[in-house]
Amino acid sequence: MIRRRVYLRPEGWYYCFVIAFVIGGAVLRNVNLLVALAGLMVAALILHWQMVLRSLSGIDILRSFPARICAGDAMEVEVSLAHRGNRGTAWALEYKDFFERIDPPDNDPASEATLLFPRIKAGEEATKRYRCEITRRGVYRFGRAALACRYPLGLVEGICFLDLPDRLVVYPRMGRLHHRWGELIEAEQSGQQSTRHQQGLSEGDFYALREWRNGDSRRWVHWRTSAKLGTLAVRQFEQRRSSDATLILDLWQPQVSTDEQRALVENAISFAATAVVDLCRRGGSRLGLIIASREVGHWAAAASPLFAQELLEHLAVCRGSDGVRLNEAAQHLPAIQHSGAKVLVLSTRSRDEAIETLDRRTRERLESEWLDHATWLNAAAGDFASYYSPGWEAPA
Amino acid sequence: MSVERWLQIHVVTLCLLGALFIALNTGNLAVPLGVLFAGVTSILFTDTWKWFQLNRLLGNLAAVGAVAYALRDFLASGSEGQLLAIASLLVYLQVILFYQAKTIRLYWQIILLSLLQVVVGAALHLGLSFGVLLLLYTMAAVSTLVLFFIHRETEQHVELLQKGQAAPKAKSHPELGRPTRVTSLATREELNHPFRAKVLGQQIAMFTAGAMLFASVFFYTVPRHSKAAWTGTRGFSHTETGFSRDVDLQQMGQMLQNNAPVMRVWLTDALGRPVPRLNPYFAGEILTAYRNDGQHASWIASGRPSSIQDRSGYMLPAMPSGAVIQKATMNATYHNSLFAITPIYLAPQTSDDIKVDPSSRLIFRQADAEVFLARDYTYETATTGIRDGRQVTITPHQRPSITRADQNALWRDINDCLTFDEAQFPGLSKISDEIVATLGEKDASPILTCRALEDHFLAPGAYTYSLNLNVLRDRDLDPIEDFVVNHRTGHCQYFASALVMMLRSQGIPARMVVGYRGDEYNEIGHFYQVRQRNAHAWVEAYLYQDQVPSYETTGGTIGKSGAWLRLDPTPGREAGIEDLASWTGTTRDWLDYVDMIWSDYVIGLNQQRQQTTLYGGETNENALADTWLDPKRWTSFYTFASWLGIHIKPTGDHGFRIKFDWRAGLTAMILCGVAVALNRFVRWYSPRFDWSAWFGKRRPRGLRSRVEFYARLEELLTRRGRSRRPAETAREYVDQAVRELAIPRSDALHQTVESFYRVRFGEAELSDNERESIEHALAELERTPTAERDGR
Repeated sequence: MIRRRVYLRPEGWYYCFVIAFVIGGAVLRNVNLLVALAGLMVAALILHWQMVLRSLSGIDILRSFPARICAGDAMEVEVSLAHRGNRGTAWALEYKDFFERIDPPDNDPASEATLLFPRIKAGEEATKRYRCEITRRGVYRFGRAALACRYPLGLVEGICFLDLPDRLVVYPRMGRLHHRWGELIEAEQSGQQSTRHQQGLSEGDFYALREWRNGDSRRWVHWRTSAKLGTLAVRQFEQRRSSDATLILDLWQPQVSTDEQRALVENAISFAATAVVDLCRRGGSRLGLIIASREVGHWAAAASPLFAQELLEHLAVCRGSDGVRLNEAAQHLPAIQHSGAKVLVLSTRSRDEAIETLDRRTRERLESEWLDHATWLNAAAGDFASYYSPGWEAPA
Repeated sequence: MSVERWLQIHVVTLCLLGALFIALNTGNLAVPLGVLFAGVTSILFTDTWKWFQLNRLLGNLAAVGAVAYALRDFLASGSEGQLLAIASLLVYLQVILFYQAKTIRLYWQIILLSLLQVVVGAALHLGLSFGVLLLLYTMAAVSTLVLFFIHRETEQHVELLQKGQAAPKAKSHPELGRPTRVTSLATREELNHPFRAKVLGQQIAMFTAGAMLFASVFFYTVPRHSKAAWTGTRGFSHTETGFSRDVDLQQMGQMLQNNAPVMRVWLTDALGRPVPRLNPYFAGEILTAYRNDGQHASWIASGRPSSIQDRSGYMLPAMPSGAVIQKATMNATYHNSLFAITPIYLAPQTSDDIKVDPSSRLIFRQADAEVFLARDYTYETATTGIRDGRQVTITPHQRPSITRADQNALWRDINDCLTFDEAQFPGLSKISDEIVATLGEKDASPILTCRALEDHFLAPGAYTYSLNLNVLRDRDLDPIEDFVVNHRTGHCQYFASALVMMLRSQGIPARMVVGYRGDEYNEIGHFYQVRQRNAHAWVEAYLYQDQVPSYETTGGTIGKSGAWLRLDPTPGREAGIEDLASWTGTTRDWLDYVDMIWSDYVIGLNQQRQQTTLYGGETNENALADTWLDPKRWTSFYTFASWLGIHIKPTGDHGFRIKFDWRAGLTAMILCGVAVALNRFVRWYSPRFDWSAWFGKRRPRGLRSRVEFYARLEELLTRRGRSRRPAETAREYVDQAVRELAIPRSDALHQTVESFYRVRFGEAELSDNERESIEHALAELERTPTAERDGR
């Protein structure tokens, strides 16, 4: 507990006003019963004050909730209050959680959740839960909790502010990927869909030997076996399709943006998050993510649930900006892009709009290096609709 | 039954008790019965079945009507009546609120109005019944407030539950809508369940007991500034039916005995020991003039001013040795006569406002306002009328130094006491002559004549004492003549009247004395409990100095001014002190004793008694109170208040008398309007005002930036040419500023911002190391060139 204070509620002020009135009457008119009445009223206030303080003392708080959720998912927060005193009962304790998004910072006031614990006897523990549905992605701080008591008269409120630092990461809202997404991700990289690009023996993993057939490459002939068998035998490979991908998230939004423009940014982030989860679930591929906004971030690793968590945390805090550094983002591409990986650009604007912001030389360089081979999906043009549906119903 | 229904029942009970406080003063049960009716019907028809509910507009109109109605009474009444008008207004407003749809605010208003009723009740009534009712009210108030609290808290959480379940407003993306939806998983039943009746009952009982205990300490330790013997009003509407200052002999019908207490009297010797019990006569008025105009036959005091304010008298003579102290606490009355055993002397604690009536030698209170008579009053005098455990019958005509003027006045009084019209009382004269004739010359002294005439009435079977006046009367005769000659049935006033006239017929100056006779002795408190039914009339006959036999025990030395012989001709009055052995008598004694404790140590607690009781002796006067409550000091304030219709008149002993006129009502209305407007303004302005500026702190740029080290960081960055933009968060601002100003070693500044977030939003406290590193970072930033130096 870092701070405790007791103050009068508005009803308490009215009550004090009546006390003052009674005392004034007692003094002016010398009426002893008014003094007695004032004494009773003051007594009630002081006893109330004491009961509030006693209810608040000796209470331990334990709060638990998941470390991360997706935006829009319901989360249950469990709060346990333990009365560690030997005697007395804590009455009508009101527990309040205050949490706010700290990254990206929010202009909205801190959210508040309230639980009422009607009665906790000495040495006992009470547990209550509240359900919380956080609609905005980001990093939330559950920094402060308050334990308040107004029992029994409601004139005085005692409140303890508790430092219970906790952090909750709210991932972007998950959507639903369509089958075309699967096709897109499993398709050969742009321009190579008909001719499979193979390097050396890395076409696949060795699987078995079989007889030679027309069209088989001479390089697949297993000479030692062929010699033993007296007929040509070739090595058979299990050829896995490569789903390596690099996602470039272009989060452009004008400096003064409308709700629709901000919604496009959120849509793109949701799509990216859903795609990241999907790709990491598939496994066996390499995934790269570049977030292009006012600042550029880039990450790449073998797709795995752990990597998905890392990327989702980055996606949880990214923001749209009018100063997207696409050029800078492109500089990171060679470092993270695995050869043959698909490049998907999830953007809030069209490709043309994006390259218009670049000077001619840069534009040409980017086009030749990767832009021409990348798949550009523009949220504003409805390009997402074929591959992805958001996880919420848009208003009619 | 739901908590809210219990709350409604408690609220009605509370209002009923509040209305009973008013009824204690008016004696009119219509008010509490009306409140009860309104409460029950409102619970049934308004709250339960919802058949009838006043909407807000109608409620407000009804409230305005109630205020206007009460204002009419207010302006037409005296100060006590004004308080009653306010009390009535509170009841009207409660009834109006009963019939409106109940909200949290409405419940609170009803409770507050009820509390104000008690305040008004406390200013009007001070009897023991008030104390008992106050105890009940305290319990009811605590339980009501507890239930109100439970109801309010539950409703708030249920409201939260409903709010959480409501569908959010549609937006183009959920991220742009309401940031969170919080739902409490508790139900109303779960929340209410722990507040069981038994547990709450225990809590409320303990709370009330604690409050009472604290209030007792508070009550006895709060310093009193008043030196008045008692404070407050007690039953100002109280009417006396036993004692009256004049005697009317034309009454008819059955007289009912009134058990209402009048006063308590303690008789102690000089050492404070109670005097053995006796049947004392407490004289209150002397009636010398008899008037019979054919319609009314009455005894009145001759030469008495019509107004109590005009009554004047002299100081009591000093107490001789061996006198008995008589201390009395008298209940509220509308006359200023005091009752005491004669002769009366000045006691050590006799108040200055007790004076002696020059003709009757009885005492009265020189009050300057009627309101002060409508209160309990404790006074102390001394008497020499008790000798050897008996009240003597002969008392000297009391005047310390008889001058010629005094003597002339005495002769005038004696002359009045001889007024007798034989034609009016032929039968009475004849009987008295016959009685006197039976006395031989040897026994024909005035004192023996007096006693013979007294004995005439006391002879068994001769006369009948009765309170039933429905006897056959001869309308042509004077009632006294009729009493003596014909029916011979009546109460003490008839007997006293007849004896006075018989004495006068024999040339003996005589007069009627009215007062009380103490028949009821309280063994527990050692006091006489005098009630209205103890009202009595007896006779005093005047004896010259030489007419008083030397063997008679007298209440003092008989001087030239003679003496008065007390005669009581009423038969059946010698029954003695009432038997207290029975349990009813003991119970009554205890009740009287508790009432005495209440009167003396609750109502009558004044500065003097507080000093004596708490600190074991008197201290110097309360200099501070004397200074601050000096009326001269407040003259300007009184003038100002009178402009507003509030007329405050100091009455001595730091008391005040307050009267209101129509301007006070107008002032109250304006003040209420101003208060409402002020309240709204404060509520509107408060969130917009930066209170930190009031406490000498530098106004921060944003409401969220109230951390000193961050404010300093902002200031330093601003001096370097990069101020914070309105839309920027602290982190964005510092990030941007560091980048734009190309500040080296910016990690420390980023760390400072992180610390700011922790302190500002996490309520965390920084460690010494953190503070040191922040100081270091800021000092380093301070050393970097400013925008001015750079020429930017």
